[in-house]
Amino acid sequence: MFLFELLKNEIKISSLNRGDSLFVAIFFLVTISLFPLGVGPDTITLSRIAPGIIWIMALLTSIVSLDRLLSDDLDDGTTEMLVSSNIDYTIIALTKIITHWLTTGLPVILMAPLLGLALQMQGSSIGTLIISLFCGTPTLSLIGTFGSALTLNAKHRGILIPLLVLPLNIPILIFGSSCVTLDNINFDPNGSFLVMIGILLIAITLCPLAISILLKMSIEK
Amino acid sequence: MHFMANPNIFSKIMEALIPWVIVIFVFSGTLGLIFALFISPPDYQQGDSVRIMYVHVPSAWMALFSYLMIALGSLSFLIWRHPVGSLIAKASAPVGAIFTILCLVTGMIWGKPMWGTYWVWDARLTSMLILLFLFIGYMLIGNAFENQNHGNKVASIFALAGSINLPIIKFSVDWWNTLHQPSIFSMKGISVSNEMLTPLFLMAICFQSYYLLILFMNIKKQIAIIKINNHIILSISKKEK
Repeated sequence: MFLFELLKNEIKISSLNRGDSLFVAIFFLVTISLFPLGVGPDTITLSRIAPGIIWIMALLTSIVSLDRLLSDDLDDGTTEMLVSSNIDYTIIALTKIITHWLTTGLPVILMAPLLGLALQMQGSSIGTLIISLFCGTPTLSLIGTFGSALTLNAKHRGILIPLLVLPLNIPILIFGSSCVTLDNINFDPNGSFLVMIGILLIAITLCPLAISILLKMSIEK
Repeated sequence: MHFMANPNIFSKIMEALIPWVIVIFVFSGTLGLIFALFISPPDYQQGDSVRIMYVHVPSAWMALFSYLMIALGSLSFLIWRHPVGSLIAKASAPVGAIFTILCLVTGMIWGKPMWGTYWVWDARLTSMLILLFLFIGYMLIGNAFENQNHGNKVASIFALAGSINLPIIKFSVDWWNTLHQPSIFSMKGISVSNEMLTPLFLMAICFQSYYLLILFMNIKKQIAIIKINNHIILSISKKEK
């Protein structure tokens, strides 16, 4: 399987320049610790807005590394090499999506319980938060990589990526934070989970396809 | 529909339609405003502020319609490489964004006396705001590339991804419990009396013809730009010979 070989390679590369994934983790940690300073250390307010804060920051963290995700390999010719050795564009797209999730989604999920405690969340709602992040962050990676593929070779990428990706990610934010909010007022959050899994399934079927088309276009241009 | 894919034939159809569109625009606009402002009765709850509906609702319809045209044009451009599809999609974006802003602003003006607030974060309003972001994103990404043809293709793919927002806007009032009124037209029938439906219908025709007028003028401009560029390239290559 090319996918696993490529994935191993990608993980090796990202572990070599460890700065990138470390940057993501530090960005998440530092920005979240700004909220209690800005909003005020009131326990009730913090525990009420904590899921929203963590979800918004998960969304923003997923965007930070997008502008180099695909373009690095395209610029130094790696993508072209892979394509000329008969590896499908979809496989390349999938590798990039999984790498993006491993370097941004997973650290966010691992750090969320700690930050949830720091923001005065209750134990049970932290559990719900983790499940919602597990359902939602893969979609963030899928849509994020799609946005990264859209802006390959574009001018002003830094502004374009957030503008294109954030509106498409809003549903994830709404359902993700509503899971925890529903759980807090003793409502069943299953509906929101199912909607998020549904969105994930749609994104898994469509995003790799769209990314592969866009990669092909920017190589053959 | 495929015979219209030729820009020359499309231009001829456009030229023939433009005078009629102007006549319909002026006629339905005048008649619609007379009906909306003077003849139709004030609402039993809302009083005269119901009249803002005659601008708000058609502009919301046209915002959705403009995005639908972007999506359909993009689809035909990606599948059949129809140049007119891309022209229609690109020309619909600015006018669609204006309709969206008009819809949001009129809604806010109406919302203050009726709901007591300019803005609420309910599903209908939020999804409409996302539509505005999608319009802006579509316009920016199309112009972000050196190669215009490449930019058109990328923008088309983005437009198709964003079209998932259309059913969300349409059904947001049914799926969620929103402060926004449910749709006038639904499976249960029409929920507005005929006296109010007449100006609404006239204004909808007026907005639709305005959209067509701006669309046609925009496409004419784009075709002219393409022709000028081709002419410049041609004259340069002649000089070099």
